[in-house]
Amino acid sequence: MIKSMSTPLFELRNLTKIYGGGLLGRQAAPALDDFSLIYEEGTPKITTIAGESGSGKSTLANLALDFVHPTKGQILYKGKDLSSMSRNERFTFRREVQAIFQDPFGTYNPFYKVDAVFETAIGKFKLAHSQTEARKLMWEALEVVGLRPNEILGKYPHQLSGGQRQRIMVARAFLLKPRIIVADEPVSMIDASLQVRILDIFRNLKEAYGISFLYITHDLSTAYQISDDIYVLYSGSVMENGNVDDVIQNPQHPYTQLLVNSIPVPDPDIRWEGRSTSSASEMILQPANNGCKFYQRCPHAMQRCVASPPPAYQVGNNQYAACYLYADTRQALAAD
Amino acid sequence: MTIASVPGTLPQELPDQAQPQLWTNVRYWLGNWKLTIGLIMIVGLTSFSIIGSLIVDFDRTKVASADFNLRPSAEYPLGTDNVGRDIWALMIHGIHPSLKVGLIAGVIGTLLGVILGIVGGYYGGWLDTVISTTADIFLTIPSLLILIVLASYIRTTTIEFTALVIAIFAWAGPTRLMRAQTLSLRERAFIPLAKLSGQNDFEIAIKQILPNLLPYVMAGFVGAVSGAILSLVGIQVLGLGPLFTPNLGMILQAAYLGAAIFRGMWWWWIPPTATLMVIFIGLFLISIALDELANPRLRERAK
Amino acid sequence: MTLHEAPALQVENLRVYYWTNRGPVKAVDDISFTIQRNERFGFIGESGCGKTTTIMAILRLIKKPGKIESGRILLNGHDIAAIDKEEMRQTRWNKISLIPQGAMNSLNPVMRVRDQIGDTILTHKGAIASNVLRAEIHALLDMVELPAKVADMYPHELSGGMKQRVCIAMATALEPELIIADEPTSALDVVVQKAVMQTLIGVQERLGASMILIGHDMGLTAQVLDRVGVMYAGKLVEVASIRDLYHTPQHPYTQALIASLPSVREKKRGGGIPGLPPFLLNPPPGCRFHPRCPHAFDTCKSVTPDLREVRADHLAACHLYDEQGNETWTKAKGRANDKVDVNTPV
Repeated sequence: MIKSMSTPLFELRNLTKIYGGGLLGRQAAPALDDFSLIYEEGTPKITTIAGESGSGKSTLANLALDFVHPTKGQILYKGKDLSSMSRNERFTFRREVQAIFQDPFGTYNPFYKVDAVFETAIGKFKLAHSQTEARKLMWEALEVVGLRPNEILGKYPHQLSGGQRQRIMVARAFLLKPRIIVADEPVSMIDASLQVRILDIFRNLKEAYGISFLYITHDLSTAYQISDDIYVLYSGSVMENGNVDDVIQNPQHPYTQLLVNSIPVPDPDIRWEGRSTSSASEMILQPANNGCKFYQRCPHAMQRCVASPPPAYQVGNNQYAACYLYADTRQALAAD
Repeated sequence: MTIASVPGTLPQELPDQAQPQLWTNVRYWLGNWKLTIGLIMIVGLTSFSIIGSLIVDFDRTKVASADFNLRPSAEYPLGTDNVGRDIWALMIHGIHPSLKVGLIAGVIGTLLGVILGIVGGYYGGWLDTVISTTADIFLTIPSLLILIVLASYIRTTTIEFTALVIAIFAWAGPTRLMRAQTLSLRERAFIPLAKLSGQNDFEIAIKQILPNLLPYVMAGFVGAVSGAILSLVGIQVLGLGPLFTPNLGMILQAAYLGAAIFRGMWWWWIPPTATLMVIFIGLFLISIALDELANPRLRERAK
Repeated sequence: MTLHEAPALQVENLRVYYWTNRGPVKAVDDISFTIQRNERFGFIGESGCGKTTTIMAILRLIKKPGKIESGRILLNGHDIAAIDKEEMRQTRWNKISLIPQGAMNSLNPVMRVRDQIGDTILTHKGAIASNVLRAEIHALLDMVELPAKVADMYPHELSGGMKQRVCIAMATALEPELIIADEPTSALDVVVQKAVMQTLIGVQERLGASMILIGHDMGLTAQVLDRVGVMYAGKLVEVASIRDLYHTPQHPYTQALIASLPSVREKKRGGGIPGLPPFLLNPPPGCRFHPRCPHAFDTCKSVTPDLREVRADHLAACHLYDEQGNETWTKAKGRANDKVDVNTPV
């Protein structure tokens, strides 16, 4: 890994999160295991965290937003560790790292009009000095996402459609002019025809305003459309990561390959290949082992996979797979 | 806190025309027959009693203000009791103090319930354990027994003081209710959004959670009032209530001691009993109606 | 598929309205379609288009204030819209079964799998000897590719995919002629989704049943269906074979929809459909899509187009095609025209 020349904007360093632990002293399996990611100053990017349920992606979102504390590892914003920030620094972090959540209904307090999601933030972060100025900011933000402000402001959440509500959330994130937006399944509850518009807005926010994204999803198709790079998570560990084109078009890790093969391509001539493995592999009570997390479902499982988790091997120009299949032919990344 | 994954696309709701929330609620309330009838019963009784108190002479409630055991007549619409008190006057002057106790105890209980419930539910930890365990204890021990013991030691002279004594138990139910609702509201997705907007825990508790508790506050209030009036009547019937203010329980106690049923003095025991029934049925109807307001699923079935 | 066999399902002029105090919401407004035996048919459409209402109408599960206003639903030639409640109750599950959305969450958590499947069978078939029942349950589990030991387990011991297979087993226990699946794999991970869908298709083919599938994942529908109907604002706007629909969509809505599908094959910019779907309380006059259609012209604003055959076995409801099914207006194929005002009022 090239050491950064300047302080990175946002750095997740060897993050591990273990929930609970059990009274009998038995360690629960980590929800997230030794995850690292860097956002550099000056080069905004959209990074996808791809994973299924149980992969640890929700945990990662919660950690990145400082809603939970890591068991091991650090989160550094502009070089400062989150846990040792002053009150002001933490406040700045709050404003500069925003989020868009999955559910376009639950994120609204039904008691208030939708204006509240803007006004609360404007008030707390002192983004405007008068009502007029605040209103102007709200108008501008709504127009950026393609909504008509006079049809939106003054309404209650239940009076608007799901698509409108989600766009308001994007507008809110834009209004705060953050540096980073954590988008957790932002379009999975939205119709296809609107999904693509919202994803376009994300792209614009990155290109025109320099905002980076941590885009969390299970849907590789949308990930492919907008991201620059991707991390494929399984059971808390990164299986493969790198440039999104390479990872998706030419996946090297058996799990990524399985995922990509399972995606239903919207083309009737390109039907699913083969039959998936039998349902016995879906049994949920898998004993944790000390090796590769994907061992039990991997068609290429070997003896060495059980003993210890494989390091990330460089399998492409900007592509890394954590799989012993490449142990003999590729360079492993030195552990940080 | 987890960000759960929910499948599928949301159905498109039918956007309502922009109506102020308050007006929609008021219209709904007035359309709900249980609420209307319940309110009529309680408000009717209260105003009847208050207005009546201004008209009917208080002296007629005093002992020996009239002949004993008179049957109902034009001058004494409900007759008199065995010590010469005008029962009609007793009823009129006696209803609103009972309701007043209910109100005071209900307000104290609900206020405490909201504060303790939100604090316990939102902040959690040892504070929550202390609050909820205490509330559980107060809910489990038989309040009437304790009240009887307390009332017999403390000379409960005034209505207000009695209300305070009863309020000792009135806070537990509302606290549990508010705490439960706070616990569930705490997990809603607009809470992390509020955090991202810079609100601290205190602001979230007051501005995000409290407004959503309002339906439960009202339901809890009605429950607290019912419970308080019940407790009050309980101790009054045993002769432990306020001594100098006429009240329904006292009338009932006197009717019991004076063997009203046995002596066929229906005008003595039926009015207070019927009035108590009206009070409780009225409060009950209001509380069901408020339950429906708080729980939309019940609202659908009610239509 | 022999042509002279009666179709498995024939729906004629179905209308389902929800009566609110502001008037009727026309959730399904005069749709007609046919499903052949052994065919996998599906509805594509976005929120509020009426696809869920349609299948609920077929199952006669529409609740107040909704009501089937008019129309015929011919199951094997027999109009089930007209039969009484008791006969419908027996038809349900025996002849038509439903795998509802989130089915796996409706499994009873305190009953073992074998008891839940057993209940379904016994309720509809009456009393059966216990060893016969056991054999049937095992046969069902085998058909959905679950090991026999699952019968003794509780739902919480099973993964999402396995629970959904149990639901498929329950839905097919009585060998229905028509299986209706409402988003059967929405809650499942993509790998499990593929496996479960393949199982479902296997079951459907083995039973010789027809299937109606609705879902919002258009990639999934492309993989699984034979024929598909596109719904918009309560109307059927296009019906075609799956290949014809995805490769040569005729209706502008379908074209825009297909163009906005994200895929891992190519990167696209732009796309999507401006505006919002209409309120069904007061839909736009004429063609319901006209406010958002890049090719709309005068007739579209006042006359509702009929669903006509515009190509072999390919129906579309659009004024761009005249009575003979020929194009009347030259139009750009492919993506929706972005010059349409984003905030077109509807």
